[in-house]
Amino acid sequence: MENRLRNILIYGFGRMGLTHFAILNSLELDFNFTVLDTNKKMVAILRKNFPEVTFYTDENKLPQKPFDLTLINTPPHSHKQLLSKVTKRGDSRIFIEKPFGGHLNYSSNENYENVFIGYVLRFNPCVQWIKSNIVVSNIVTAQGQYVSGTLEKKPKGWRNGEYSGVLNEMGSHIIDLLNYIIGMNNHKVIKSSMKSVVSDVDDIVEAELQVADKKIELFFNWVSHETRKPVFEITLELKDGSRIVFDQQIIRITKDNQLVEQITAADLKGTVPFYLRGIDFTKQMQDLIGPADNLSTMKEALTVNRIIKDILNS
Amino acid sequence: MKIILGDNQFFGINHIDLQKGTMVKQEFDNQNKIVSFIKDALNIGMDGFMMNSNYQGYEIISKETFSSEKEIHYSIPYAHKYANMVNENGMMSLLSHVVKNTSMTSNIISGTKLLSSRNLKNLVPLAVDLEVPKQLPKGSYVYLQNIMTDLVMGLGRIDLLTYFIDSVRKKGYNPGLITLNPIKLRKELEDVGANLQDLIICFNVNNVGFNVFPNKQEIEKFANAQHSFKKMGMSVFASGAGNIPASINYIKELNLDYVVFGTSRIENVQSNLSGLKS
Repeated sequence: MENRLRNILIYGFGRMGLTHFAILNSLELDFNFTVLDTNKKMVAILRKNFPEVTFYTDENKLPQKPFDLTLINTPPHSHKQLLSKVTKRGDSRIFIEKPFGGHLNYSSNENYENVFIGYVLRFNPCVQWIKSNIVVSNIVTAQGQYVSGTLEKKPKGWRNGEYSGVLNEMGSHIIDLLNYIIGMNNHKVIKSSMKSVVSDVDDIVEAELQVADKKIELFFNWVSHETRKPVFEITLELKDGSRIVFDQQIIRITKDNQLVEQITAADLKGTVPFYLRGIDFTKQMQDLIGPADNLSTMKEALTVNRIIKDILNS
Repeated sequence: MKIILGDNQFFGINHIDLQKGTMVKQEFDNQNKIVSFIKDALNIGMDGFMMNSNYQGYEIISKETFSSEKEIHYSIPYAHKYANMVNENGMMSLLSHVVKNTSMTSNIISGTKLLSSRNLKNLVPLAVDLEVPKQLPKGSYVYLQNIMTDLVMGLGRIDLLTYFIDSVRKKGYNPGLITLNPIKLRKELEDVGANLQDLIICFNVNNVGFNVFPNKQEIEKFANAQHSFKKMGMSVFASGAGNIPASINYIKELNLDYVVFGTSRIENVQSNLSGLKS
C-alpha cells in the first residue's frame, strides 16, 4: 500500500491512543509518530521507553508544519478546541475519537470533509453485512442496546461529569450504528428515562424516538455486573414481518418465530494483517489511512450528538 | 499432542454467541462447580487445564490442589480488571497499582529499578509477581494473555516479551505467549535472538478460519513448520461455529504440541478427547 500519510500526530496516549498507535505501527508503513500528552509523569516514562517517537507535553511547542494525519484521543471536552487548532494548522486528515465532544457539541455548522470520527463498531463484519444487505425503506422499527460492566466504582475526573455518562460513551456507538444503517435525521424523542447508579451522571438510559416513519427504542446500561465484555444488540423489524437481530458476532433472521437464516462472524471470515482488540479496530485504521469510505463524517457525528442532547433534555 | 481444558466456559466467554456465553457462565456460578468440573475432566484423561488470573481463577489456584501428574496452564493478566482501572482512574493508576500491590522483596529489587530507570522492563517481574499466586506449582505454565502480547508487539517493545519469558523462568515456571498474530510474534522473537526452547505459543487455528490471522493458509503453514518452541492451538472448534468431527480431523492433521478447548459438558470433554487422541 502506498503511504501518503507519513507524519502522524497523536493527541492523548491513553487506552485509545495506545491502541491506534500499536495498530498503525504494526502496519509497517514507515510512519513518523509525534505524540502530545499533557501528563508529564507519563510522558517522562514514555520518552524513556519509546525513543523513536517524539513526545510533547506542551501544545505550543509542537512543530508548526501541518501533519499528514492527526488522531485526537483526548477526553471529549477538548475535541472542539483541538479540531479548531489542527484545522488552522492545515493538518491533512483528522481523526477524532467518538463521541466528538458529546452532546455538548451539537450546534457546529462546520463540515470538514477531511475530519472523521472514531465510531469503530461500523467496521464490525456483522454490521458491514447489515449495511450491504438490508434495504432501509423496508425497516419499520429498530431497537438498540448496549450493556457493559464498564463502571464498578464511581469514576474520577471528567468521566463523572457532563461529558461522560452511558449515553455519550456507550449509547453514542449504537446511535451512530442506527444512523449509519438507517439514517436518524429529523428525529423526535417520544419518551426517555435515566438513572444514576454508580456515577453522578446517566448510568442506565431508556428512550423511544420517532425517525420519519420508524420507531426507534434504545436501552443502555454500563453498570451491569452480569456482563464481562460490552455487548451490543440491534433488532430490526421489517415490513414483511421478518426480524433481524445482530450483535458483534452473529446475525439471526427470523420470520413467524422461525429461524430463516443465521450468519456468524465465522461465516463472514473477516481478516486483518494485525489483530488488536478486534478486527474492527484494525479495519478502522486501514480505512483512515486509505479510502476513508466507512468512517463517520463530522456531519454524521453531530447528528448523533444532537440525538443524545435531545434524550438528555427530554 | 497434549489436550488441555480451557476456561472460557467458566467465565461466560463465547466468541460467537455472547448470550450463550452468559448462560453457560450461570452453570458455573460457584467455585466448587468449576473445581469439580476441572477434576472430572482431568480424571477422564485431559492432560491439564487453563486458568486465567481473574478473581475466581486466582482463588482456585491459591486454594485448591490438583494431581501433580496434570499440567496447570495459568494466564495473566485479567485484562478487564486493568481496563476498568484505567477507565475509572487513568493510565497512571495502573503503574501505582502494580507497585503498591507487589511483595516487598519484588518491590525492593524491581520497583526501585522501575522508579529510577523509568524503563517498563522493570515492571514485568512486578506484574508476574502480582498476578501469579505463590501456590501455583513450580513447573506449571504461565502465559501472557493475547491482549497484552499483541499490544506490546504493536508498540514495538518485543524486548518486554523476552523479559516476561525470563521472569517466568526465574520464578520456576514455563513461559507461554497467547497471541492472535503468531507469525509476526515468531519473526520478532527470532529477530532479537530470544531463547524459545521451553516457550509455548498459543494461537487461534480452526478449519473454518474464524478469528485466524492473518489467514487460515498462513496459519496452517506456521502450525506445520518445525520450530524450537511448542505450539498450542486454541479456538479449535471456532467457538462452536465449526463441525466438531471435521474440526477434530483438521486439528489432528496439524503439527501441534497442545490443543486447548473449552466446553461446559463433561460428555463433550470425553468425546472431544477421544476424537483428538484416537
